[in-house]
Amino acid sequence: MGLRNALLVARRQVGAVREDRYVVFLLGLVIALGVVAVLGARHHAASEAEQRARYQAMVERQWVEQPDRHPHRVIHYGFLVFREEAPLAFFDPGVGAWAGTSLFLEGHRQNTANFGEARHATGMLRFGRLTPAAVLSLLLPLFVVVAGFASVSAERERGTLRLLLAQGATPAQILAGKVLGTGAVAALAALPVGLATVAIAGSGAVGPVSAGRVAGLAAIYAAYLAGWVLVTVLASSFRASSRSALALLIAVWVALCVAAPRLGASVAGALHPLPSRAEFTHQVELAMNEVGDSHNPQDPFFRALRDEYLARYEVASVEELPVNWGGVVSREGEAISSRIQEEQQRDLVEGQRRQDRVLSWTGLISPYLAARDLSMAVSGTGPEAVEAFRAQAEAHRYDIIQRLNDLHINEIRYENDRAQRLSREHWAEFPTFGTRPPPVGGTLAARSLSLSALTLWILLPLLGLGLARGRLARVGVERSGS
Amino acid sequence: MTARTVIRNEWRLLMADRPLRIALGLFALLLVYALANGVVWTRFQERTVEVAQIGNVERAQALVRELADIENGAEPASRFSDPRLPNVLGGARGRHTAVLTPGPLTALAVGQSDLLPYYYDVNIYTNESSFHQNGEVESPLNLMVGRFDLAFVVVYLLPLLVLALSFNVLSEEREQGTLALTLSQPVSARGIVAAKLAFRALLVVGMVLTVSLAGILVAGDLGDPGRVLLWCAAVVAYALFWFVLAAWVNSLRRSSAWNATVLVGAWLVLVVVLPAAINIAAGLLHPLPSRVQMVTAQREASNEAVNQRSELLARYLEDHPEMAEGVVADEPGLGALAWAATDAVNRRLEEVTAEHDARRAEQIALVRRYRFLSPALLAQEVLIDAAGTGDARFAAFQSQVRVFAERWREFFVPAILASEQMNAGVLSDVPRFRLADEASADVVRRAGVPLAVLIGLLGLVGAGAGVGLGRVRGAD
Repeated sequence: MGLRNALLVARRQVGAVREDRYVVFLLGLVIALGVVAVLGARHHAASEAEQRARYQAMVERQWVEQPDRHPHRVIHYGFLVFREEAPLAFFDPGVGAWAGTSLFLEGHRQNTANFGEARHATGMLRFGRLTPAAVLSLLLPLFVVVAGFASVSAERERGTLRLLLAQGATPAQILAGKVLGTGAVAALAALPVGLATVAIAGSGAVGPVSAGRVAGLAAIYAAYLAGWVLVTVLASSFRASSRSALALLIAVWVALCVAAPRLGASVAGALHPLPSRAEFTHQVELAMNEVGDSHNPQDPFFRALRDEYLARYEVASVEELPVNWGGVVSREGEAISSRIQEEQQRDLVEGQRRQDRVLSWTGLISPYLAARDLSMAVSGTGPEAVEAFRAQAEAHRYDIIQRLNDLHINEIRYENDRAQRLSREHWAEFPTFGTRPPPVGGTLAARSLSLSALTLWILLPLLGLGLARGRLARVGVERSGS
Repeated sequence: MTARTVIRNEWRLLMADRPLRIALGLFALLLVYALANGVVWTRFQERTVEVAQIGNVERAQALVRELADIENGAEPASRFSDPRLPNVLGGARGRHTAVLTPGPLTALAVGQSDLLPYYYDVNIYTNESSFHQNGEVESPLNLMVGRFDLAFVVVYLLPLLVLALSFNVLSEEREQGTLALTLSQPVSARGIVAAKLAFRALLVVGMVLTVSLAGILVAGDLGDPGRVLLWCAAVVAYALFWFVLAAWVNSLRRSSAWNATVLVGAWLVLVVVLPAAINIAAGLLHPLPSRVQMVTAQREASNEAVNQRSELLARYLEDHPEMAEGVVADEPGLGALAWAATDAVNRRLEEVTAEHDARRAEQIALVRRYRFLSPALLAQEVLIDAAGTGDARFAAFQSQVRVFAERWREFFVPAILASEQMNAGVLSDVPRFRLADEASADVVRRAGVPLAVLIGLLGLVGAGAGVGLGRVRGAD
């Protein structure tokens, strides 16, 4: 009986929306924008991926086709890697455009990734892009508001609310029906974007996408939009008029989706300031100066190392060592400088993560931030994906440089070192680079705050509706009695 | 009705409306917070610039001391960093940091200044690829979100306040039944709406301009009246655009609720949807030339160059006879050979970059046409250009650094080619970067176009409102 009443009210709500030409027009608009966004994003992602793959192949070929070379020359020749976007970047590009896309790997130093898309575009990019994720997280909530702000209040204004109550529907059933009806309309609006996304992800055109990630995205946006449906019906049930419910809901949308992200970011920046690049480079230089200088033969660290090698091989001078001393110095120098730079880099990333955590706390206020955070995590386009690329590229760099140093130590004689060459066959034996995206489980586990924020976003309005249930009849009577 | 009566009545009415009172107070708070945020950012940039300039002085002083010690018989620490070598003195050790001081009104609009580099280390090895290697270490998430500055409050939030204040400016009179009464007096609907909106506009624009001027006094430069006027003009034109849009919608004689829905829809389309749609459409219709192509071209060039150094040197000396003085062509030093290879890579890079930049400029010009579709995009452009944080100022800085790097090379390269050593005496003649900042007349000329279009839009909507209000009768 209870369910039947709720379903009846839901059908009534859907019918009311269908009769409203304005809402139907908006529904068409939202769906059209969503589909355009999906197709546009797919096209963009595919052409970027194609280019990246082409140039990565070219760089790899250039590496293998190097002539006979001294390994230290190869260390300076270096290697170029490109950040691969996650397959789901077409749905939610995350921070992709704002981070570097290519990274030059060479000996002695850690470079930073360059050629971020945003630096080559215009300031217009600051307004954001119409991505499928933006359609779902920014525009759809507004549509939900427009479709549902009058759900309860219009019944009250027309006096039909009292009629419904008189016919035996309980306030809880009415509210549940209104939620279901508005939810059905919201689902209808979100469905085309969702289906198009699933179709593209399933076709494999953007790379392999695990079903788990797609299901995760569906769950996140379903929860996020469900929260908006609940809040909309709640506002409609406790505001005196449809007009004031609409004003309130739009104010809430502006506060949560437009103002809160920037406020959050500015608070994060103020609480955990990051150094400028100049300061950061300076810190790295200072840290490097504190330890050995491999180019200075009088440096105490390298003198001790030399004595240790001489003692180990029981010889009197580095010329008599069975290994190439120049290569050993190069290897140890690389180990030290890499460690220091990695430490500094970790500090920096830690600072960035502290900022991101502040933003996660802001997610408790703004579900938009929480949903965006989770959406980036599941799509594999969040800040940790950029950091994973950096860390993996650095590990790859260190591996290649030390392999080259080992070749220097074992294959090149100390005497007349610089004049010798290593056969080009060696170059093909080096591993190639591929980005391994961070596992989705780990990125989600680090986002418990956003997960709970999204849960609260559903629970709090539910609680509100529970409380409004008691007032519903009273407000209705007061209104009609006045 | 005198203007004073209207204003007094309107003030009483506004203050009687509690939500509006809250909205106005909140807006004032947000303005002040946004300004504080911008001031903090300006201070950060000023400090960074100052540290860079101190670094320039300190590096030079350290080199002078070291050169003096060597002259007095001390050994250089290592033969790789001997400051007498021109490729060391003009290289990383003796580098000069060229800085762009924060735009005069950065505190009001952070604009592109958190994304584009405002300082470059220049040495003899500076080339086109150096311009891509100065990414700030800012968190990409914060870059994506953007700053909470006055420009943001003006472009995004001010329209909403304007609409909240004026969506029912006429419809309410009708709904309360007072319109017929008012119009029976010797006043027109046009006059009433104009007076009411003028009062509200004074209030809102007054708040924004007061905070802006306070910001300019605290952290900016009042000595640049062109920029300040441009800023104020953009704020006024943009705010008035939304006021006259509200007046126009009111003149259509629909209900207050209808007005509110349509106006919020207009805000959503013009401020949120259209810019986002333009960004995605621009990417599809005018894709930017590939950035990775540039990187790979650079590597190819350096590959080729290293293998044919002596050939390159001969060609270089032919092309630059002014640099050749003192070079022994038969037996060039290692430095000269290395320089020839470096130079060949630079030339190749310049070719690739010039091609890339030309295509990019073309595409950006195409994309920028679309900004005429949205007053928000126009206002944003004028505001950040006035602040000195727009794309153009950074591009100008970069091309000045390019010229400076050329001067730097001209100073050191002849000595490299001749395998000469340098001494402390030359340090006072080493080129120093002097920023030739854009004149405010240039800024006004450049930002004049979008501002004129914005004012044109304002005029168009204003005319529509005027005509529509002329038709309003008390009997409606």
